[in-house]
Order: sequence, then structure tokens, then C-alpha cells
Amino acid sequence: MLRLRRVHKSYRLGPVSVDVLSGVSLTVREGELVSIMGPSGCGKSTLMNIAGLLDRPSSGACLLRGRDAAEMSDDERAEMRNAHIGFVFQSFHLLPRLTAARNAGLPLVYRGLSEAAIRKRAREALDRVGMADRHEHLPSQLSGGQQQRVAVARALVGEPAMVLADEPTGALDPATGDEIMTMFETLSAAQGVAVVVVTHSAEVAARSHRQTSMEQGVLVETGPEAASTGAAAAAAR
Amino acid sequence: MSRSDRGSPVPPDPHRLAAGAGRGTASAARLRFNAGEAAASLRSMLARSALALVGIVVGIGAVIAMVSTGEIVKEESLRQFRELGTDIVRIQRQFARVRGRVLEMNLADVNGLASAVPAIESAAAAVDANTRIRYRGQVLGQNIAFGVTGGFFRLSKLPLAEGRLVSDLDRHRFYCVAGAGIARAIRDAGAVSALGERVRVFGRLCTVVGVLESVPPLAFGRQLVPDEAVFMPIEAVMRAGGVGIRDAVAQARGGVEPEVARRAVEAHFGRVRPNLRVSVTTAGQLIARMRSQGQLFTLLLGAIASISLIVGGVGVMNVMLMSVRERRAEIGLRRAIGARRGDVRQQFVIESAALCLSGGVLGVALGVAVAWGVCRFAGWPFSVSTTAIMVGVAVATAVGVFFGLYPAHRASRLDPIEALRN
Repeated sequence: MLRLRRVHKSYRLGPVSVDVLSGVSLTVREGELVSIMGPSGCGKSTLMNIAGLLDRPSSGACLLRGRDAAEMSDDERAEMRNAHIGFVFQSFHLLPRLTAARNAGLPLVYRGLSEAAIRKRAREALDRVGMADRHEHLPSQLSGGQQQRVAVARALVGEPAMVLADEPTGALDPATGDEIMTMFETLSAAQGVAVVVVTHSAEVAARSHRQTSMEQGVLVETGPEAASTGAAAAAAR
Repeated sequence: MSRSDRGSPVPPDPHRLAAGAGRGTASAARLRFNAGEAAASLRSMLARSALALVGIVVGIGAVIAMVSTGEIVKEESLRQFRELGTDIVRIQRQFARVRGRVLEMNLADVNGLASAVPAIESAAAAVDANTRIRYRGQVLGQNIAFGVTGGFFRLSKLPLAEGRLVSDLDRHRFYCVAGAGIARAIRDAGAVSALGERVRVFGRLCTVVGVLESVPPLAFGRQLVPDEAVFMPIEAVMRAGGVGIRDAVAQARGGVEPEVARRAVEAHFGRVRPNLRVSVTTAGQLIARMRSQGQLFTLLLGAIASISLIVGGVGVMNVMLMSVRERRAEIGLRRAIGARRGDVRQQFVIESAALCLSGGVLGVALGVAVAWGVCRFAGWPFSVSTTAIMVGVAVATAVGVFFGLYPAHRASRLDPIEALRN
């Protein structure tokens, strides 16, 4: 699904060049739920941006479904994001002027689907995240947890192969964060979607199949054994 | 990789499997969506774009007024040319004082013209004097009484509807021919027919002996609206109103060039009335003058239009740049979920065009109103020009697209990562 090979990323800060990622390799298979932990500023977000085809590595390769991101044009990467990747952000990033259904359907607009098809699929996606009764609400009329559900629906609506979630529970209370994680578990287990979650929370990380940690630009596997507990937790539900 | 064999409840999406394929063909649906988006954000932008839109409104208003009056002037001058005839020359006395006396043309000058100048077939004069025209206590018409020689009606192509015309034989008698509008007003005031009724002019009673058919305004003398005028024998008005002849028309004999007739008349007056200065113009010159007057209007409006549109366009560009800055997060999100640079660019160009178009619609209304005012002021018949409205709408859209390009380009070049960062 996703393969990062010895990814380096450095930024120029005046005369000095700062390494943010120094040789990160990561493979995420379909249906896998991977967590990335680590202190602020360790490069987690940069890694997510590269995995999400929003950023290019300074060196190393990023392959999504076997295609090398380095060989894609800007438009092609936009199309790949649209077709294969769902994004979930800490601060939701819903468009305040649009209803929940319009927000959830937004990615399909860039596939050029008809208005009716977009509406239908946006409603289905909202139903799947338990927002069946909030289709026509504006984000300002929803709680934080509800807004994040709409954002998850927007990530799912295009049937992506991979969901990248950058601190999806960071702005939510523990119970609501739990519900969001449950949705990700279902997504990976039932539909084979690869999910990568960046988190600060050990509880959230504990529910992933594989736990990794980022330190000083290097990614370390910290809990392969967590896979069994995560799977067990999913099975128990 | 296939996910359907894992028991996914949703069948694989053909659009996803064929990423890229078919996206171009569906651009119409996306255009429609972007237009809908534009309408929504337009509402929130309208409030603060009000100032920028004033420029667009004034600019488009001027464009509409410019095109409309231009068309109206063209039509009007053509119409007058047809109606007046190309063989007419107009004689106006220029102000001149000899030993304290203002010189005027006299009746003999006009009536003798045809026999004295071979190039002239016939001549007629008209005078006007201010007076209130009353009927049963009601004021009629334009507060002007016209005094005309017998030939005036034929030369000015004023057809009689009923009764008779006034003639030179009526001399000082208070008889008059009423325009169609005056006749209608008399009937509205209770008379069965205007014929035989008496109106009060110069404080005396004057009998209506004839009624004209309804005709459009003339370019003769001061803007003459025959429908709202009363025509009396010229001598009656000259004596009662104390006015001299300042204006006369003459018709060239068949086959004589108007310019030749004009020179002959000029030479004749120079010979017989050396102290009297007259200007003689042909119908063609008259109409050319009117057209250049119209062109001046057009030029003025064109200048107003270009300046306001540039000012308005820059204002709109500013509003759009502000909007791009405020909506960085939205742009970043759209890029993340698959909007290409072109999609973002299109969205902002459409918004800018929609913004200008909304100003343009107001401008069209303003422009039609101004054109109406100009026509009223100049005494031309008014009509709404569809060409003008189409030009206005097209110009507004073009201004929006042009001044939206740069902000839209800026939006499309935003780095999605930067834009998403809080």
C-alpha cells in the first residue's frame, strides 16, 4: 500500500540546513492500523505530508500503490490524493459555510461526479459515522466530536485505500476520541483500509496493530506485540 | 490489490480504480459546483466589496449609457434626416445691433426668398413667444406659442388631422392650429372636439381652427414638440409677443444641391440685408452637429466607464486577495483532498466574475436610468438597447475574470502544507 524508503527531508533555515527526517523507512499494508508517536517537532507531520503526497522528500522514495510519488506531476499527485487517500486533521478543517453533507461530499466534487451522486454518497458516508440525523447541519451547529465524525465521513466518502490521521483525537475528550478510534479499527478490519494515526496518546496508540515512535528524525517500531491486543480489542467489539 | 474480496459492503468505486481517467469529461459538473460555491461565498463577500462594486456599478452604468445614447443618437439623426428631407436649409439670424436696435429678419425677407433666389423653391418662418396657454382655467402645453407662415406646415411635414391650417391671410387674427396632445387635453377637459373651442393666449381668446396629427419632435428652432404646441399666424404672434423672426427654413428647388442652395441664400442676404448677419445651414450640417454632440456624450461616458472599471477592478482584485488570504485553510484543505491547481484557480476566477457580475447588474439598471435621463434632457425618444445590456454584462464578466486572474493564481500557488498549518 504505502512504502517509504530511506526518506530524508531537510529544510533550509538561512545558511544552515536542518534535517527533519533522516532516513525513515515504513511499510503500511492494506488493513493495517499503524500509530506514530513522538514529541512535538520530531517530524511526524512532515512524514505524514510526504506519505500524503503533499510534500516531496529531499531524498529517498515514497511509493503509493506501487507508484513513485517523485515521478508524478502536481496534478497527478492531486488526483492520487483524491482517489486513494483520506485525510483527518486535529482541527477537523471543515468548511464553515457548507452543511455536513456538502463537507462530506467535497472530495467527490474533484472527481467530477454529478451533484446527485455526490449527495447520495455523502449521505451514506455520514450514516456510516453515525451522523445520519445531522446531514443539513453547519459545522458551527455541531460539537467537536460530531465535526470530527463529519471529517471522517469526508475521508471515507471516496473509498480511499489509506487514511492518514494527524492527531485525530487531539482536540476531543477521551470518550469521543475513543469512538473515532473505533471507527478507524472498523475501517481497517472490515474494509481493508490502511490507517496511519499520529498521536500523543498512549491509549490511542495501544489500539493500533503496530506502534511506532519517531525520535530525532528516525522511526522506531516500539510495539509489534500490540498488534494482537489491537486485533483482540477489535474482535471483542 | 482488491478489497472487495474482504467483504467490503461497498463495491469498489470505478472512479477510484481509474484515477485520472474521465476526470476531464466531468469538468462541467465541477464548473457547476464551483459556481454554486461562488454564490455562497459571494454573499459573505458582498458586504465588504460594496466599495469596490461602486466602481463596477458606475463603470457598467456608463457603458450602458454610452452604448444606448450612441444608438439612440444615431437612430434619431437618421430619422430626422429622413423626415426633414435633405433639401432643407435653415436660416438663423445672428445677434447684431445697429444703432442700439437689434436687427431681425422680417416677413418680406422670408416670403420674397423663393422669387429672389432661383435655387429656392419655397421658404417659411416660425417665431415663438412665451405665454401661458389656458383652457377653462387649465394650463396646456409648453408655455410657448408658435407663429408660423403658411408654408411652415408643408416644409416641416406636419399633417393636418381635421379643420384647416392657419394661413398668411389670417394676418393678426387669433386663430390657431393645435397639436395632437393639446387637442386631446381640450377634449379631456370636457369639449366634444377641439375645433371651434377657444383657448386663452397672450391674455386673449384664440379659436382652434385645426388639429394636427400626432408626430415625433422636430429639430427645428428650439426643440419643437408639435404635439404640445399651438401654431398661430406669424403676424399675430410677432405683434402680441413682440418678437422678430430669428428662424426660417427654405427648400431647395428639385435637383439643386443643398450646399448650392445654402450659398445662394447666404449671398442673397448679404446683398439685400448687409447689416443683418445670418447663418445658413443645410439639413446635413444640422444632423452632423447633432451627431458630434452625441459623440461628445459617448466620449465622456467612455472615459468615465474606463476609469471606473479600472478602479472597480482593482478594488475587486483587492477583495479577492483578501479573500484568498482569509481562506488559506480552505484552499489547503481543498488541495489536500484532491483539488488541482486549476480547480482552485477556476474557483476564484468564478467568484471574482460573479462578484463583478452582481455589480454589473446594478450598473445595467443605473445605465438605463442615465440613458433615459440623457434622452429626456436632449429631447430624443428613449428606448432600451439590448445590445447595451449585453455589452454591459459581458464587460462586467470580463473585468471580473481579468482582475480575478492574479488573486486566483496566488491561491493556486499556495503550498497546501503551509495553508493548512494553523
